[in-house]
Amino acid sequence: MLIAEHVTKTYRNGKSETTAVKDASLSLIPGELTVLVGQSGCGKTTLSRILAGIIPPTSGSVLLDGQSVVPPARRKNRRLNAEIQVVLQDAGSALDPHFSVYRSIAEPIRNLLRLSKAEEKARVTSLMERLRLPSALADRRPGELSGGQLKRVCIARALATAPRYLIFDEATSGLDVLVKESILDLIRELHRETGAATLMITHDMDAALYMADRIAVMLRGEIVENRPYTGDPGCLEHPWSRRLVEQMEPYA
Amino acid sequence: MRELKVSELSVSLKDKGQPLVDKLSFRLGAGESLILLGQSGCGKTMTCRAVMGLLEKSRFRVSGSASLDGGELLGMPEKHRAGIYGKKVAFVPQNPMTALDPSVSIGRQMDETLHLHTKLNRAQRQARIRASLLEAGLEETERVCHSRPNMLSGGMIQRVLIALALSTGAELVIADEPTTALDVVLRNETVDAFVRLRAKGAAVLFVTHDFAAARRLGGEVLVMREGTLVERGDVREVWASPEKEYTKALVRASALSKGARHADR
Amino acid sequence: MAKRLFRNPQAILGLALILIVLLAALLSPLLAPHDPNATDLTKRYLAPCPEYPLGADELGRCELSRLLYGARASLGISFPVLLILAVLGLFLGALGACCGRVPDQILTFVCDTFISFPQLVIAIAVIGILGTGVRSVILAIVVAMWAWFARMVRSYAALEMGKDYILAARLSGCGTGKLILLHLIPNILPQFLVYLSTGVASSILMVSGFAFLGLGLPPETAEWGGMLSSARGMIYTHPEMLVYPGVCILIAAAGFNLFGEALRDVLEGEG
Repeated sequence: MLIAEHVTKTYRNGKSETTAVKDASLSLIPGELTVLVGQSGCGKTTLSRILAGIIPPTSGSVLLDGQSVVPPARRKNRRLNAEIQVVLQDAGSALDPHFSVYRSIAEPIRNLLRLSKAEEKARVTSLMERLRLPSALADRRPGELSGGQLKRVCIARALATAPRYLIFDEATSGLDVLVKESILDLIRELHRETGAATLMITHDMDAALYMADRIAVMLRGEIVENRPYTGDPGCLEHPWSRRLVEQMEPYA
Repeated sequence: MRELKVSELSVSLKDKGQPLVDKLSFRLGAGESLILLGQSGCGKTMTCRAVMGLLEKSRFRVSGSASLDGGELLGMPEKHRAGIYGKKVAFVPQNPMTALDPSVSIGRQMDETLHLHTKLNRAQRQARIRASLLEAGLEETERVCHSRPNMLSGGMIQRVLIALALSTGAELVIADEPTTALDVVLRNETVDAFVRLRAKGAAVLFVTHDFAAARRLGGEVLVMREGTLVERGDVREVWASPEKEYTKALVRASALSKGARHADR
Repeated sequence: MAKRLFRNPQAILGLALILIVLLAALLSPLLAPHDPNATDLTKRYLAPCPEYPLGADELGRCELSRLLYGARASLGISFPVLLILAVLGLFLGALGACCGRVPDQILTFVCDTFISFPQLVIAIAVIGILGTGVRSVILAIVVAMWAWFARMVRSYAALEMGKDYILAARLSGCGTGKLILLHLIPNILPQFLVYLSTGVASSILMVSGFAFLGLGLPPETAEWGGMLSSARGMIYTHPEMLVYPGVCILIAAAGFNLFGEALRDVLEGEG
């Protein structure tokens, strides 16, 4: 389990202080798909980056099976790196413009796993197949791909090391509704197949309710509600969660 | 403005035959809204750009007509266009940050625009700016006025542009994907600002891929795919009972959680 | 990118000028009709003739030969200088941008200190300490210009470091060395080439400047700046002796500058 306990993150800018995350606790459990939903600027991305060990919390702890996950540890520990992977929000800028699709997907394999060239090739090929990326795309650069394809390459990259914990930061923002649906379905399928503990961060309440096994609602840095979700939006109790649901057109 | 009338509008690239917009016709009157809905590449943005006369003659072939109160907009000379856009017609782009000067406060920019387009004195201008910001749903008017664009969120900037359209009394407001980057709460506040704009007698041409936003706005919807019209009608009726498969897919994708997924697992 | 570069008239002009200077430098032993340092006092101020196409100077040396060898001297110094500056700039700039705050602050401080002095003053000081010779001229120019290169690389690298693909590379287990070599340098290379190209121009000007002032190179060396300097006395009697090396300096410097700026325009058009 990946557990964040009483995590607080404060940014200091000169004399003023802003608290991005306030005393938040969240656990990622294998087999469970958690959605963290909140408005932009509510601190959800910061919390996800703390969970992933990209930035350190000001106070509180993040533990993976009892072992602390903080940036220096993450950077040095290959296993930790391979086990927690993040799909960043903006697929267009999350891929090196000079890297071909093949090289982008192969990069984490080369850095984190010790595989032979043939094994690496087999793995990249099967990942591309799994994510419905035509093999003809292998030599293309990011600039030549569509938004949906870019997203798939990013997901393939994150899956390359077979992580047990997967974090998607705004997986569908900026995508067309139909592409969004296909990416969400894909994430769901991958989650079922791999059983990886998955955290999805989104401002899109509709996507949240579509995907969640567990839903956590964040408001101004605090997690105000965190409960299992079985398909009835009525189970959400906090006034802010209720407001988010009511704002959705089908529930209005 | 009485009406915007577009008939048989076609747009294609000069060097390719495939039309980007194929014989599109619609009519938009004062106090009404019209929604162009479809995925990226369906021709909705191209239609807007054609109506605004922004398609370069060297690259695009435009045919048909688009007239504003009888005056033809297509192929209008540059000089003429400047007299209409910014005053009679306002534009709210997808990325609103680029529409404002990042180094000047919102209040000053709005004041300059009003100074340019109206004969109001300073006090009147200030009063109108405050009133229109309120109307666009921005309640902290003082803070907004004193902020530079980068100090505000995307949703707030959208509404600043709507306020600008309100304050200059624009008669036609063209909005290209104004709610795409926003969460539900902000999206609804922004759409509601368009509703108020419409209530004041402006016509709203709204481009989106999000059926939920379209439904909240209301009005006639034109569902487009690859430059052609798929289905048209009142947005709430189309949402409730879409006829074409493509429209059904769009409606479903705009309200995923209402679907049957939780039942099937 | 290459295609668009070759459609840009400014780039082609710049490239053509660079090519002329480059060929002159490479082929000077073949092209030069005479030994550039062979003096023949009977031929002083000889007017142009088939044997001496541009005439001879005050010591009867073939002007054309000296100009051709001058290209060799200019580029022979500028290219090593640029090579050193490129490696040093990329290394230090990347170090500043991705190795934490303290190295960055030290680098910025040292760079700012160097940049606050005029380049020529630093170079003259270095030559004053090291004495004359090609090697000390190279070193002098490197010391005078490195801070500009390091700071330029640092600022571009810092911009790239803020982008998501760098974070993504880190997440996929990229160490700092790999990050710099595989991701950072390829992505700032185009802008760096622009800077390098204009850097060659300023280095050529600096070499000529030194020779003109009589610094660094042995006085008899065939070098445009030195030729310009010795022709000063003949400005009323033989002004063409002043014009020839001047035009050469202009062609070389303009070539690299024009090409560098065209490259920048093409890159900006793409970005």
